[in-house]
Formats: sequence, structure tokens, C-alpha cells
Amino acid sequence: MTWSPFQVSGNAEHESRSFIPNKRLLPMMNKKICMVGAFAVGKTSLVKRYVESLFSEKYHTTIGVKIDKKNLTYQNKDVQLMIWDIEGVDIFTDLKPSYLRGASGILLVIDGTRSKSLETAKQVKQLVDDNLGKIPTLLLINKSDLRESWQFSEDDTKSLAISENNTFITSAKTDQNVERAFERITHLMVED
Amino acid sequence: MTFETSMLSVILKQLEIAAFQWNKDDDFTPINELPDWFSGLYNKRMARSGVPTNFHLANAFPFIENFLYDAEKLWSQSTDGQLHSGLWTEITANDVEFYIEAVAINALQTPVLLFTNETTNFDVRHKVFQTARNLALQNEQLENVVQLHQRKLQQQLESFCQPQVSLTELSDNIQEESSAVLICRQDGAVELYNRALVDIYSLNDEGELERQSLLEKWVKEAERIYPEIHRVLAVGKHWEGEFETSDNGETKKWIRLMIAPIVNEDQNEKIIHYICIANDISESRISLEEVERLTQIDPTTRLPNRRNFWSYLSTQIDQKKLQGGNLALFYVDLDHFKQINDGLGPEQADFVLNTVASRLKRCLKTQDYVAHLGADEFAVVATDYGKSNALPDMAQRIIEGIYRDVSFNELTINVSASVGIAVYPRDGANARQIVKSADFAMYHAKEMGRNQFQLFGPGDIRDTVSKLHIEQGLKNAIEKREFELLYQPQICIGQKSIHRAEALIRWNHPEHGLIAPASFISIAEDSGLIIDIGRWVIETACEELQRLASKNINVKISVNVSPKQFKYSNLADDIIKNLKAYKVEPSQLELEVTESAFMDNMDSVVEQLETIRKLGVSISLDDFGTGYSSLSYLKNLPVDQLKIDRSFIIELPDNRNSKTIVESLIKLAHELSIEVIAEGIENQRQLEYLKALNCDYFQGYFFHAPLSASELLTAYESVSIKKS
Repeated sequence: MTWSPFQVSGNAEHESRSFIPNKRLLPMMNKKICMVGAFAVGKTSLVKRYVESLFSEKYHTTIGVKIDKKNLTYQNKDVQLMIWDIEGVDIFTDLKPSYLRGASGILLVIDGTRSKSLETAKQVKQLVDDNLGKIPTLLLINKSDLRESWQFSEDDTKSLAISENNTFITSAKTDQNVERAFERITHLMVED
Repeated sequence: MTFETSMLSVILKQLEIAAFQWNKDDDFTPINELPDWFSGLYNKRMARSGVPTNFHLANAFPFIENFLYDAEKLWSQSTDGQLHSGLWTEITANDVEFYIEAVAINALQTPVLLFTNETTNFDVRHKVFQTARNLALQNEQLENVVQLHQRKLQQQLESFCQPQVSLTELSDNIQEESSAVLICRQDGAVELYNRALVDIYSLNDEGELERQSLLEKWVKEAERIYPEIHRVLAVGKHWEGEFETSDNGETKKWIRLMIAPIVNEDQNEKIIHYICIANDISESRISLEEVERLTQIDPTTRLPNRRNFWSYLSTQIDQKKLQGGNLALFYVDLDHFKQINDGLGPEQADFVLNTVASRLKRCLKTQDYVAHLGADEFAVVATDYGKSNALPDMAQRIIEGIYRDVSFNELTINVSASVGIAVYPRDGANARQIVKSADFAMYHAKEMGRNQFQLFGPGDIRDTVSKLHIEQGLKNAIEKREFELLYQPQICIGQKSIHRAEALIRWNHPEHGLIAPASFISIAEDSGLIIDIGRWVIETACEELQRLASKNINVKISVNVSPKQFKYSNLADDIIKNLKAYKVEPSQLELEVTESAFMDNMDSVVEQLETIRKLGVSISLDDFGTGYSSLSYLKNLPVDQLKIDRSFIIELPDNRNSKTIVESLIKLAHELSIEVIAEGIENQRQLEYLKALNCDYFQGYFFHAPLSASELLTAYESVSIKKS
């Protein structure tokens, strides 16, 4: 699958914009994407890689929510992605359903090296389904750079009921499929 | 704006809170003067500058746009509830991160939205969560290792469990295995087990296992968490999980257990054995509990943190509500901790906090609760202290317990604390009110001179709020030109021809009128604002000297200098700069210093004064007799004048003690070639008495009240003290 219709801008102050002269036919579309999943699966790293093209090995846990913006052009439409990086779920943090409100797309992230993150993803997916119903959702199996340490196969993720087309094996470290995943969710949201 | 309204605005700003009234949709009106951090963020988000009348907060902050949906529901109900948004991050143009929380409340049935800046506390919170999550990750990794090992072992054992392999042969293969292994029949009857299993269950007699069904015990224990275990095993499926078990001595342990049924394919898939593999995972479970505990423990002192404190206090108050009785909260704030932190660095500051935490615990009963609320604040909750007259003793114990030296490698510092006490239900009906009352009382204790305690009294709130109001006003008073210098002449009766005046500061507050220095100087000292005020005084006095000089009037003006100006500013440079700028002769300026200036670092202050004196500026020792009045070191101080405090003068000439002191002081000063100024002269008798003692200068209402600059000019012009 190719995602050529995109023109993605560079980054300035976490917000970026791409102008293609004479091609802006429609007003800007705003789309909210929620990054959800267990703690330490790499949600923040994926956003940082996508928005700022940066990666750090150090695990720096997120508390609360951080919102990043990314502007791009999709099929002559200016789209602003509002990416909500939401604190991961663990024993003292639940996903607040109110954070999901208004989301047009969900990136459900799991860590291939931690089977528990798959268990958590199942609970999170249920919560998303209960609150948002049918909504474009991608599964990102992150940390493909550590594939030798993976604890489950792609088959194990079938219980999440997310199609293969919408499942991406990613690595914020090597930048594998990060851009493609965001392009895919944009495509799904815009076409939705 | 009423006093109360402006007070509220000041308090909110001090607390770094931006408060708004919701009008409709995305239209908000600020309630208080907005803190700088908020204005900066808002303007960045809206790409604007200045302070608008109305704010569009949802437009500026997408997080708030989302939160308003819930907030509006609360506001429409007009109830007293409050709704917290949770923390979110905003980044400034300089890449500085702010951690913010919004709170929606109904205040007097008015919808209000508060923005609180949580950035200061964020590091501690983040440190706790980071540690907790790192620990959780390590545990997961350990569990994964165990899980992987169990699965591999299960596969090996399954391959061994063939009809042709004897149990003895199998037994030999598992004895040295680190995981506990049990092979039993479907009814639980034990067939094989290894040494590790005996160890986990602390069995004295290996035969015990054969007399009891461990499988049955496990299933019972596991089904509390895994109710499906019966069904899974009954249909011949593999099961694994983690649960709490008890060994033979009833000691609780956590195990990870895997049960794999072995079926006989020839007998219609009938289960013939269960292979059970268990590992003791108690240690990682304990650390998981530690993770949970960590979120309520302060990582520096290992005391309960603020979060735990609120929970504990609320629970205790709820219990008192039901059962009756009192509860006392001691709010403990270390004195001058900021200087320790700034001067010695965070590591040494943490060491001090740890020391204080240990001292606090030592001086309290075991049932008393101690928490570290953050920075230099601690709290003690006493629920069982007997009668209320025991509270001062307890507070004194806390103060004395803390008030000792703390030694580092090459340094010793003294630590003290101020304590405020509030009692439930007398001083507040809920946790928040009790904390507020104790905090006000603590503030009062600081006001009274630190290293002491105060019980909450109704006046504390007004006093504290009033102080906060003054401090806030002081910050802008210089640029708003609200200060004024008045000049009180110092009269010489006799042959000398030097004309002198003391510069006295007054604050013309736009709302409260003229405020005397006694009401704001100590606040300015505490807040550090005295440095800027002190500079302004020197500059203004020099400016006035220039003005007088332009009228050919030759006088000397003395200005008061704070001990902090010696410590935290370059006083000599400030003086040189102003003397040059206003073309003032150094001999026309005099500094008035109090004895307390020498107390902190005498050598440094003496050195600075000698430098200033070499310029030609004279030094006067103010309020002599009221403080330490060490006559022995007076001879070593670089002073030209000594001012006898008005408290001695006022009782002259009738009070014998005052007479003795004043006579001695004048005699001693003259022997040291130091001139004497008597202040507070109010009548002829005082003047005559001091004249008889050869006092050099006289100052007081008997001659002149403090005069404005123009009045001073008129007064001098009338006595014609023109330059020759």
C-alpha cells in the first residue's frame, strides 16, 4: 500500500505547515488522534519521531497529556493533526474516557517485547469501543528494533480485532513505519 | 475594587493561579491579575500581546476545549462540586515546559475556571512515577524470564511424560530443576515432585505432600483471582497465572503456577497427569506493592508525601466526625531553607530535609503521623494528644528537636523551624480548612521571629493576607513612584556648622494612604525587595543633595541601609555610581547601619564599611542600645556617629536607668572619638539634659517633624546655610 497523496511539512516549534501554491482548495481540517496503550510502550517516542524527527533511548514517563500538532496536505486538503499523547495505563493510571472525546482516530500502541502491554491494549481497546464506537483505529506494534526479544506474534494480536491493513510494526528508534502509520490514520480519518 | 477583592487577586497570583469567570461559549473574564506564566502562554497560543479584557481559552488550549464539555455540565448544575482536568503540558516559545491543571468550580453560583501551575511540584511527582514505572518494567522482565523458563520446562516434561518412560527416570530429570515441579494424577494424587517444591512450601516431612492434594489447594487459592480455572482444567486446557498461596507455616507467598494436562490420545483424550510448575515470585510482588506505596512516599525523606497526607487527614477527620474528639495539625516550615538550597545546592538541602525528617520522627510518639509535604514543609497530625494544653509542649518538642546544628563535611549550619497549630473541629470543619488555619498560624510564627510556634487565632488570616497584600504592592511601588523620602533635620547646638538630616522613607499606597516603614520594611527584608528599595533610597537622597547643592545649600543626608544590602548587593558600587551620577561630595552622604548588620558576617560588613568610609562617606550606628550593644566591639567598628535610640531618650531625665545608660554611652563614644546623635527629642528638658552631657546632635519633633523635600529646602533657606 502506498500513501503518495501526502505532502508533509517540516517541523517548527512542534507545529508545522506545508503550503503547496494553488492547491489549497478547502479550508483546514482538524483531526484529533489519541495515542493510547500501556505505559512505556513508546507512544511519546513515536510522536516525537513523527513530529520532530527525534528519538531518545532514555525512557521518560509521561504524566497527563501532551498535545502536539502536525500540519500536512492530503489530496489537496490542508489537514492539521492534533496528536494527544496520553499517559500510559498502569496500576495507578487509568485511561480517562474524557480524553478520547472528539477523537477522529486512535493509535493503539503495544510493545512487542512485553506481553502485558497486549493485555492492557485489549482493555484499552474495549474502553475506546465503548466510548467512541466505530472509529479509525490502528494497532502499532512498537519496538521492532528489538524483534529478537518479542514475546508474541502478530497472530496473538488478532483478539484486538484490528485488520492487518491497520496494523503496523513500528520502531521510533529506526523510524520504521512511523510516517506510514500516521499517513494511514490520516487517510482513514479524512475518508471516514 | 474592594480590599477583599484585591486581596483575593493578590493571593491567587501568589499561588500562581489564573482564575476566570465563564460567561458563555468560549468567553471568559479574568477574576484576578493573571500570573506571568499564564499570560505568556496565552499570548503565545493566540499570537498576540498585551492583556485582553476577555479570553478565549478553548481557542488557545485544545485541552481546555475538551475539558469545557465536562465543566459546562458542572456549571449548569450550580452545585458546589469541583472538577479537575488532570495534568497537561504546554510549551513556551523558549521550549520551557509548563505542567498545568484546570479546575472547574461553582463559586457563589458563578462558573469559575482555575488554572493551577503544577510545574514546581512536577519534578518530585515525575521522579516518583518514573521510579515506579522503572520498577514495574523490571518486574515484568523478571516475570517474563520465569514464564519463558516454565514454558520450556513444560515442553520438556511433556515430551518425557510418555507411557514408556518410567517415573523414576523422570524424577531424576527434575530434582535439580530450580522451578518447583509437581506431577500428579487427575484426582490430585501426587506422583512426582522435586526439591524446589519442598522448599517453597517449607515442608518438614516430604511425605506431607503425598497426604494432601496440592493441586486442590492451588485451585482453591487461584480461583479467587481466576474463577475460570476449574473450567479450563476440566476441559483439559493449559492454565497459568499468579496468585497468593500459603506455605506449611501459613506464611503467605506469591507463586506463578503453570498447569499442563497430559492426555492419553489412545483413551479418548483422557487426562492422565497434570504437570504443575511453580515459581516463588514473592520478591517481585513485594516490589510491585512497593511501587504502589511509592506513589505516596516522598522519595527524599521516605515520609508520606502530600498526596498521602491529604488522604490521611481527610480520613482521620471523617472518623472524628463520627466518633467525636479532636485532632491537631502541626504545620512545620523550616526557616531560611531557600538560602540553604540556593547556597549549598540540592544535595545538601536533601541531606538537611532527611535530617529534619529523622529528628521529627524521634521527637514524636509512634502514633503521631508525620508527612513531608514538599520543599521545606512538613506536617504532623496528632489524634491522641490528651488535653489541648498538651499542644504547646508538643510544639516545643518539635521545635527543640529540629533546632540543632547539621554538619556536612566541612560545614555546620543551624536549622530551625516555625510551627503553626490548628485543631479540628475548633479551627476548621474539614481538612482543607484545618490546613489553611495551621498554615496561617505558621505564617504568624514566622512573623514573630521564626523558630517558634503559634496556635491558630482568628486574627491570623487577616494579618497574613494583609502582609501578602503589602508584599505584592511593594513589588510595583518603585516603578509606580509610590515611595517618598522625608527628611528630619539633625540639629547641632554650639559651634559646629555641619547641617544634617536623616532620610526617612514613606510609602504612599494608592488605596491605603501613607504607610510608615514599620509596616513594610520587615516584609521587604523578608522578600528581598529591600535591595531595590535600598538602592532607590540612596539614589533619591543623592538626587536631593544635588538639588540642594544647586541652591547653594550644603547639608549631609544620612540614609538607612539594610543588613541585606551588605549581603546581597554591591553597596560600595551603588554608592560610587550615585555619587558620580549626581555629582555629590562623599562627605555629604552618611550611611546608617544597625547592629544587626554586623551579626551575620562581621568581617565582610566591616570590610565593606571601611571601603565606603575611604570614599569619604561617613557611617552612623543606628538604634544603639536596643540590640546587642556590645561595647567591647564598638571600638573596632568603622563608625563616625552613634545614634542613641529614642526609647532611652523618651524617659529622660527622670528614669535613673536611662540616665545611666545615656551618660555612659556618650562618655564612651566620645572617648572613642565617635560623635553622638540623640533621636526622639520631644521637649526642652530632654534637650537641656543631653546638652549638659555634651551630646553632639539632636533629632526629634521638638525641632522638626520629617519634612518633604520642598519643606526641607524652605527650612534651610530660612536659616541660611548657603555654601560659602
